Amino acid sequence: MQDYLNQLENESIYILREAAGQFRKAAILFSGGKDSATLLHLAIKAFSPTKIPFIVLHIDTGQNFPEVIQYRDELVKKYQLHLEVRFVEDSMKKYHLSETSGKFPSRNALQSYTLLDAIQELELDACIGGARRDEEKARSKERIFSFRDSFGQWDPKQQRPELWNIYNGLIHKGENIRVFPISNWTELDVWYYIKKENIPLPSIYFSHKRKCVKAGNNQWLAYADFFKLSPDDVIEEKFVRFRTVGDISCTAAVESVATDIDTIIEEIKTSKISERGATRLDDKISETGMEDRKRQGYF
Amino acid sequence: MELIKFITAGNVDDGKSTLIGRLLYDSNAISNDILESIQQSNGIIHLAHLTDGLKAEREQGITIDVAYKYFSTDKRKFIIADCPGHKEYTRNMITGASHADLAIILIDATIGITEQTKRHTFISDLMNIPFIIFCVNKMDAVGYAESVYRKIVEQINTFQFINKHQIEIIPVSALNGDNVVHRSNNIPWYNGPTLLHLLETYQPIENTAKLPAFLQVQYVSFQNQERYFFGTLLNGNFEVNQEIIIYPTLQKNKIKDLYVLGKATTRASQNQAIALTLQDDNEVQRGYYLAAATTATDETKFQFKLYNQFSAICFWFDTTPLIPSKRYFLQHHSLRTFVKCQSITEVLDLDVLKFIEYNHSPIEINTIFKAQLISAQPLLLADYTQCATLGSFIIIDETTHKTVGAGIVVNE
Repeated sequence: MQDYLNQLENESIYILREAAGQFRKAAILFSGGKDSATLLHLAIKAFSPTKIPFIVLHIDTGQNFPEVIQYRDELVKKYQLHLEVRFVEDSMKKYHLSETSGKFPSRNALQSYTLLDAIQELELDACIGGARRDEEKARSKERIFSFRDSFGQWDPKQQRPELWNIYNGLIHKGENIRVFPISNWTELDVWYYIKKENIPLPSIYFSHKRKCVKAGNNQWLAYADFFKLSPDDVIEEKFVRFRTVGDISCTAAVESVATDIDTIIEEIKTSKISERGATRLDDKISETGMEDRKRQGYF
Repeated sequence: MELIKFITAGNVDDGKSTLIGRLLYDSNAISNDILESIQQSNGIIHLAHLTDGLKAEREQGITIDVAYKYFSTDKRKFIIADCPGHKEYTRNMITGASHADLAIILIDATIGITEQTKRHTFISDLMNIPFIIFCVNKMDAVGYAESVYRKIVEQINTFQFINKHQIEIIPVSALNGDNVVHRSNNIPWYNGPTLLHLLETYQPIENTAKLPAFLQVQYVSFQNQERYFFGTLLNGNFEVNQEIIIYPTLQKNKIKDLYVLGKATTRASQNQAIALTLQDDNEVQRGYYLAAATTATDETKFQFKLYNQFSAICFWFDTTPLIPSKRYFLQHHSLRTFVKCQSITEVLDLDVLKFIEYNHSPIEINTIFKAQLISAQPLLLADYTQCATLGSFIIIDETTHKTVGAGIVVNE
């Protein structure tokens, strides 16, 4: 195991250094999830003993788990990171956007507006993300250096061929490259690495007692004040953990009593449901949910 | 080695996607919700749908772009680059091949060897993939007849290769799972290994030349009154106080401090991402190479050479043809400089798979050709078969920024 994790680690660091070498100003997109925690850890290792040459950008939907914000701020302090936070709320006011209707109003799709504005305002030529190719079928065709036009669009048919480990990061003003250093990692690889490197995670990844609301067939969401619930909605206290971290409105909980990484790894190995399948309500809207959102400028 | 990358190539209907689906399914790499999405109403699982990702691909029933898939067994982690089979998508096959430790080429037993089979084999050979596995698929459709398999084996044995490869030929049925992960009872006349067994046990032979240890500088950082150089060390070890040569300036220097993954150390080894500082204040930029200074007694070792003019086999990927007199960017990993095509000598005839004399017709998309190139800066090059890192580059259009081509160095 150790051997291939080293291989993945070196590959990711190579990619991060290419990003530093090729771009004038790049940001790490930070969500507080385990993938962005891994990415940040890799970046710190990649540029040690010097400081990381990237800013950290958080697109805040206002629907965060409070534990994740606390975790983010601790990391910023520990590693003296340059954090920029931009709010979806502001884009909603500026562009008259509304969140989805229904019980669990989601702002997930609106993040693209905030991200595009932030790219322009901060003059970013690259955004580094923790997406992995094993997550979803549209992601499996994604490049390591992925071109976005000035509207933030991804055109899967016009991708630059990517040979060996030679990355073409040339762009015109207004265009942007998304860099995905952990493309070749799987969910389990990330967990093995978090264990090996002892990377701290937000507490919601581990089992805890939480007030939850039933969101559908066997799916439970963490309760939040902004949900538009009716009296017949089922609210229960449950022992849960979260397998991915997204907005509170679209990230389902997993019933679990796993309080340490070893137990979580065992649960994932025996689970017969994929990561996004288990936990993401946003992919379920249509069969091509992720592809459609990526084309329009989603991470 | 615990991580193996491979490509799968084959004709449109050879059952490539089904084979990958079978590998993933039989090695328990598929979760229930994904299985559900590919299950038809009659309960039959469409293994091929595990690999087709994009809307346009489903609509057309073909694979457009390289798709990456992941699975692990107890022994290894695998990364599959699934390459489309059409003639017009040669560029995807070359892209996939550039990442591959081995190639799986599918042959439809009901059809036999085709032009496409020969093309895929040729490209795998050209790209120096050390291990090629031919899967004679759809054995179920020919009644598991040994004679069909034997005939294909005979034909493969007549193939001529430029480079050395290990070759295996397996009779399989991806649809029924024969000899993919599990040994087949339907094919008692075949005693060889299953596909997964080969994937799990393959040991790559190091067939690169003995180069001195080197790294290409990816990034330079000036902090705390010190210049730090970052890069991945290849082909050997670096030690503190070791003498190194800077390319292309040929200046000599010594390593002052070494860091591996953030920790100070006295020695760094092969394939590690490292950082270092130098004793003397020479000019070193992104794209420069730092190489171990070899001793005079070390004559068997490969010598580094700088080139402004060199020969290469090039691949053209763009819908706009190559303009020989035009200036393009050449990217040699972390070094970007200008390049011009001085002369085109030969073009690959994709029908007979031979390089023929260039007749001055336009170099169109998916053309493979031999050329003399001139670069604006001297490049530290080696033949691709000696060192894939020093022998590979991409070509970028200066105005559109598209990756329009790629090449491998063939000076010898």
